[in-house]
Amino acid sequence: MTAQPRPVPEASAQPAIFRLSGVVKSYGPHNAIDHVDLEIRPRELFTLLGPSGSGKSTILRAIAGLIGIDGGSLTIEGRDVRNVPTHQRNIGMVFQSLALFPHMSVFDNIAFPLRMRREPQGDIARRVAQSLDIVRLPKIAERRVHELSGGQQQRVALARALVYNPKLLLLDEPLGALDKRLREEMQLEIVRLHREIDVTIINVTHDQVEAMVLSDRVGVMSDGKLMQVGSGEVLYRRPANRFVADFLGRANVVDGTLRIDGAGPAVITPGGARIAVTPERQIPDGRRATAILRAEDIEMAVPGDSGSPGLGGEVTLRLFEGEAVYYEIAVPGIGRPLRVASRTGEIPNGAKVRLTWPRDKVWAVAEDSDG
Amino acid sequence: MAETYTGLRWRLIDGLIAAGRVLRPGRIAKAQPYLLLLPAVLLVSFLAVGLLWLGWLSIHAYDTFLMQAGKISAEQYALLFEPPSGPFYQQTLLRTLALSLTVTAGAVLLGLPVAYVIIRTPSRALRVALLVLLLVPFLMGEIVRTFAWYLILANRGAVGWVASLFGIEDGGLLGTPIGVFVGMMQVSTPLATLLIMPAMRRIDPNLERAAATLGASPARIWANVIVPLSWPGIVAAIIVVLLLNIAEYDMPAILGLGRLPFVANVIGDIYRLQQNLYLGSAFSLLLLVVSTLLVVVPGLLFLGWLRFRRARRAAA
Repeated sequence: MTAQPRPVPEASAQPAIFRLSGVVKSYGPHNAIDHVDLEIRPRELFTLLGPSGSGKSTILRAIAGLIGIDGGSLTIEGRDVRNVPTHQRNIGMVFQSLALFPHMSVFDNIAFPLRMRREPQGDIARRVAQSLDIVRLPKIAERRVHELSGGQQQRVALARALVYNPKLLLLDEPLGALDKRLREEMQLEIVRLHREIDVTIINVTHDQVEAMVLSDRVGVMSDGKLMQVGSGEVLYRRPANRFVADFLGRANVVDGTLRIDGAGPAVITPGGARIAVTPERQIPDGRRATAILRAEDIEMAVPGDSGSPGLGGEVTLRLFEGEAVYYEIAVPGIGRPLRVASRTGEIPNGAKVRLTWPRDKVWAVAEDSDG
Repeated sequence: MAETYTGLRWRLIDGLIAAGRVLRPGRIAKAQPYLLLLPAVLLVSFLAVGLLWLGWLSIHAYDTFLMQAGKISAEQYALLFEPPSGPFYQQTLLRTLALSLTVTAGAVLLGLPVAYVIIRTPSRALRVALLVLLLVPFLMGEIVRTFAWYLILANRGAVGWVASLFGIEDGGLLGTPIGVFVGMMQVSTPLATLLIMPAMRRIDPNLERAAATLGASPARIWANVIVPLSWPGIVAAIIVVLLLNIAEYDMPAILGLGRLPFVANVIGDIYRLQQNLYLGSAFSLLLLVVSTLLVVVPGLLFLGWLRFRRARRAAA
């Protein structure tokens, strides 16, 4: 199976609704946002993915105007909003803590943005009821916020952020604190809302599964920089650099030098191990490069079966994980043991094995592409 | 001799052990909460005895010429309300209430932003420094502080000097309501700030951010989020500051130059100059009743309103 990028969302033909160019935010000598360029298309569901402290929430706050930026520009529908205060940006935002007003009823919480816009009383009642319908929570308008379950609070927060039809909805890890089942339910809810409502969503998460499941496109962040933007599948199969490869899924990243010989390109480790990489990747001969090999792409066999090809090694760790068995294999010439996810898991600890993989599953990145 | 001494010592220790068995730690532990209450109970009881004594004195007639107590009568209370002296006492009470209420309102209004700034200061060191600054007025004695204001507000002090620059002679604020107001504000504002802070500290800063993204301007964030959520602290500040100000003595005496006496000053004069314990007791009790009503009545009204609103919500 060759990697295919996910079908491009229909929205992509339209011009960007929202654009960050060269945005910088620094705290002292440290850049929390380091020259980030990003274009979001209308109706897109975009996710910023990264470890904590990578600057993804900072970008969201800059977009909302909750923090100022030190350089670059920020435009919404072609209008530079750098000097527009938060309350005039007309952006919806859901916080990780949800930030529902504890002194107000559900109705008053959702009516709040409409009252701030001085909408007529009758319209407010109608639109609050409508938005409670959209998040499938009718009949709770008069409750107090603390009387609701976690999932209901999530929905109320979403309803409040959507009731005034903002062009852009920002989600600052609102699902981060939920347990797994509720989180999956809310993910589906967000996908459903996105399909039903004309809204562009920027979501922030450190959960790669959430990012890939939800999003049209994902941007991976590290240390204030946007490392790569693309569909989840592109990021997973064709990472732009070592960080993205290592961050997503369970990959073996093997450093070495790229050599092109009769058998095609391969990464040769300092220890002399040779890992053939896909010819699709154009890296000049002699460059320092990293081969990226997914744990689930490696086939493992007990040697002597057929004098088989591939790398020889020894099982140093075997962990039963349920749907797969996780192995670590010490391979001579490769510093770090290789990680293998095996479905059968018959091979015991300490066994000598041979590892093989389809060459076109092995991606490579040049060393200085970390940016 | 030495033997008897040793014997006695052992007997003493035996006694202690026996006593310890009776007062087992278990028993002491059970009684402990009540034992800890004892000082407070004693204090309140003495206060109650004092109040009863005041009440008893206040319902007696008193011959100011012979300086002799008479029969039980409402005479002292009549003196507080009827001419010729009644209007003076009533005016004093009104002045006390008006200035106290104004100062309370001012202190809470100024205290809110001060509390907010201190709580939302990101640097811990700066926050502590601001808190210490806030406490400075309490660190100096009341009299020192009042006389410091005396120097500032006097005709030939700082305020008078500034007034003279604008060609106003004797522009000092001593003896004026403004002078007393300023002096009282200086103590009341930090106090109100301290009382508002605990409630305000519990407000999640994300609530303000959320309100901003939802379209609330900074002023409306204050009105709709910060003030309602600081309400417990604001109520505490109003009650404490109001009651302390109603009983204020030094500021009117010193900064008011005695021209604007508060109830406490007049009661002091009645006790010390007229040596009339009976009238003084009556005025004291009147002040107690008025200030109690001032706190309790709005409190009850507020609770009633809350209940009404909840009932209406349940009906809807």
